[in-house]
Amino acid sequence: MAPRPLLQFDTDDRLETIWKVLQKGLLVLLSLMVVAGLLGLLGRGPLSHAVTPLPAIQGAVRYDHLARHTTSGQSSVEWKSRPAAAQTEISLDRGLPDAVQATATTPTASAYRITPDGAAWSFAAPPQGAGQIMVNRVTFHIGTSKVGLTRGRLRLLGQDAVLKSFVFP
Amino acid sequence: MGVIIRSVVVYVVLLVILRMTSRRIMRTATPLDRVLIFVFGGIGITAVLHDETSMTACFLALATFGLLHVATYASKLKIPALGLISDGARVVVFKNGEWWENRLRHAHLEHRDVIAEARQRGFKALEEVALVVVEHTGGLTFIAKSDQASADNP
Repeated sequence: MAPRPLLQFDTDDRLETIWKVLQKGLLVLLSLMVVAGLLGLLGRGPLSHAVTPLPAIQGAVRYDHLARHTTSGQSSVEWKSRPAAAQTEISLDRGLPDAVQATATTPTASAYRITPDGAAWSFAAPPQGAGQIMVNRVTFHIGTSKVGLTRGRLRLLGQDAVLKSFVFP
Repeated sequence: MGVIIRSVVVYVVLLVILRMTSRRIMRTATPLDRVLIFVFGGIGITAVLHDETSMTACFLALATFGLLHVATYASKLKIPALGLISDGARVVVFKNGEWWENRLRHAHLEHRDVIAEARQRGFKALEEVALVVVEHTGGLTFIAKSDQASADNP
């Protein structure tokens, strides 16, 4: 006759100790994750934005250098200019349009075209007095479509700005 | 950041609403109680994640809920009054053949809920029961008259 298995009422102290350490480690990890989330280090927070200056035209590009996958956001380009041309063109090289899709712009672009190395948006210059310096601002409403590191170049009035961002899954 | 703030708000609101609506969600839940859990869960997910579908947002929400739960548990150990607020206290609803109707109503229980639970515990009649307690965990505790007698006269 086979021996009947005994019910075990004792505690496996070694397993409990290991589990306690793991549990504490996991709690620390979760806490760090929440703090990082609050700061925006995992996207969408105070530290998730970056500003790349465009000194020659007294402008800057403000964008999310830390973003989340399939999340909508905004990037804005601001610059000062005299009305030299009726149109201003903002172009992005292929690295950005492949990873970040601009769903709309504010103000609405007067033209959009695919260029050999990316895409370009044209904006009509608003009416203003001759010689008057004005602040221009274009906002791109974007959605991230690629996970990982993205590096691209924005070109405006002959000025280049390198934009680097990381998209979390 | 938004996900974390929304998670905290939803956790607190759900805790309050669950405490208000039902105290027997896990132990003696009826189908209606279960519907409540599903509906609350569905509404909560929409409110927490909003327009975000990324895994990072999902992990952040889970981490926040997990930490809040641990923090609530730790706070209950330090401040027992907090446990009374989050879990409630035990309530006697039946004693020596007499129903305490107000307490039953307050616990959102009916006679038949208690009687059904008594049948499942093997009682054949309520005359065998000395005491029924609704525990803070949501479960029902039955003290048989025979047990009470042996406790009184050891």
